[in-house]
Amino acid sequence: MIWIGILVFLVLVAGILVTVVISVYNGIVALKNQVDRAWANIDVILKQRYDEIPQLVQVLEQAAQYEKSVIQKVMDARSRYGSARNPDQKVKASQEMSLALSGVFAIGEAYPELKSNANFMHLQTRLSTLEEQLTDRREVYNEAVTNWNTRIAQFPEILFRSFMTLEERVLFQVTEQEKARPNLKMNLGT
Amino acid sequence: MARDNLLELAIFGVFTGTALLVRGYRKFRVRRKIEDLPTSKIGLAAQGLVEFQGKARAYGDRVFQSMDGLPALYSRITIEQYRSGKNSRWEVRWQYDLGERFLIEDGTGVAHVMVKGAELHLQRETRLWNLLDSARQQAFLSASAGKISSPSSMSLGEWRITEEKVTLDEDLLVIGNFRTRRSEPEVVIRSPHHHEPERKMKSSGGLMRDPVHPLVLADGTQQEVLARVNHGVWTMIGGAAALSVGVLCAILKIWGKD
Repeated sequence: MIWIGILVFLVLVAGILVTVVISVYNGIVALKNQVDRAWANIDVILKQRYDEIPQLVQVLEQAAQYEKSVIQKVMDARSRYGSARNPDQKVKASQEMSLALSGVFAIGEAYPELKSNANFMHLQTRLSTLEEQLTDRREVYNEAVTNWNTRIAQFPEILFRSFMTLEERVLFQVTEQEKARPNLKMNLGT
Repeated sequence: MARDNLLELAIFGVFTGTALLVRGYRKFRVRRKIEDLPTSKIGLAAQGLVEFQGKARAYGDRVFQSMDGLPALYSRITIEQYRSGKNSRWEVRWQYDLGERFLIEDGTGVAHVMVKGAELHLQRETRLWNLLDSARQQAFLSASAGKISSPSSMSLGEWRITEEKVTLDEDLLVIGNFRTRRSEPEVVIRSPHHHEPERKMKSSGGLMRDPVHPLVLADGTQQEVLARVNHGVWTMIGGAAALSVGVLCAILKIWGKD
C-alpha cells in the first residue's frame, strides 16, 4: 500500500512538472508571436510608404527639376528597402528612407508651386500619417521586444533558452540623424 | 500524530491545495497576458489582439445606477443563496449582465467595447439581499428581465448579491480582439464633469471576444491591475505546498496502517 501511495505522489509531482513545462513553453511561443506580429504591423506601414514614393517622385520631377540629388536619395533609399530581406536590413533601410523623405518635404518651402500642388499635398499628408503610425507601431514593437528579451533572460524561461535557440531581438531605435532631422510639419508651415 | 488527524489533514491539504493551485494559476495567466502584450494607442492601433488603457465612457445614454449609486456602464450581477447543512456554501442561483457595450478613450482615439463573454477582473461588491432597500431590490429584479424566475422566494432564506461593474470615467485596462472600422459613425463623448462640453469623435473600431482571443476587462491602471494579480504566484506556491502536505499525510496514514 505504501508503494501505491508513493507512486501516487510521484505521479502528482510529475503531472505538476509537465504542466509547468507546457505552460512555460506556450508562454514563450505566445511572446515570440507577439514580437513577430508587432514587426509585421510595422512592415505593413513600411510597404505602404514604399509604394507611395514613385508617385511622390513623379510630382517632384515636374515641379522641382533642379533638386535631382534629393530625388535620387529617395529613389536609392527605396531601392535599398526593396532589396532588404530581414527585419534588421529593413530597419536600416527604413531609417534611410525617413531621412531622405524629410529632405523632400523640406524643399517644399523652396518651391511654392509644390505647396499649391494638390497631388503633392495629398502625398505629404499621406506620408505624414504613415510616419505617425510608424512611430506608434515602433513603440509597440520595442515594448514587445523588451518583454521578449527580459523574459528569455529570466527563470524558468532561461532553462529553455539553449534547446529552443532563443535569441535576443534588436530594438527599432531612433538614429542620431533622425533625432536631428527637422519636423515635417514645421517645414511646410502646417 | 493521530491517524484521524492525518486523514483530515490529507483531505484538507489535497482539496485546498488543488483549489489554490487552480485559482493561483488563473491569476498568473492574467498577469502574463497583461505583461506580455504591449499597450497600443487606440487611434493608431493595428487589428488583432491589443491592450488598451483609457477611461470608460458611455455609449449614447446607456448609463444606469450601480448598487452603490454610482453611474455604471456595465455590471455583472450574481445572486447566491446560502445552502446550510453538511456541505454549507453559497450557491449561484442567477447571473446576468447589465449593459452590452460602452466606449474606451485614451486621448488618441475612442473604441467600442462589446462586453459579451468578457473575463472580468473588476472590483466586487457583495451585499446581503435583505439589507438592500426595496427600491434597489425592485430595480435589480426589473433589470434581470425575467431571468429571476421566483423573486418571491427571495424573502425566505439567506441571499446575497455581488456586483462587478465598470463605472463612468474610471481607468480601465482592456485586452481583446480589435477590429478597425473606417465607416463607423461619430460617437458623442459626455464627460461626468458638467463643466466639460460634449465631444464628437470618430470611433477607431471595436474590441470584442473571439474564440482565440478572450476579452479581458480590468479596472485601474496596468500597475494597479498587476499589483492585484501578482499574488497569484504566491497562491500557486501555497497551493502546491498544501497539496504536497496533503499527499504526504495520506502516505503517512497509509504507512501507519501497514
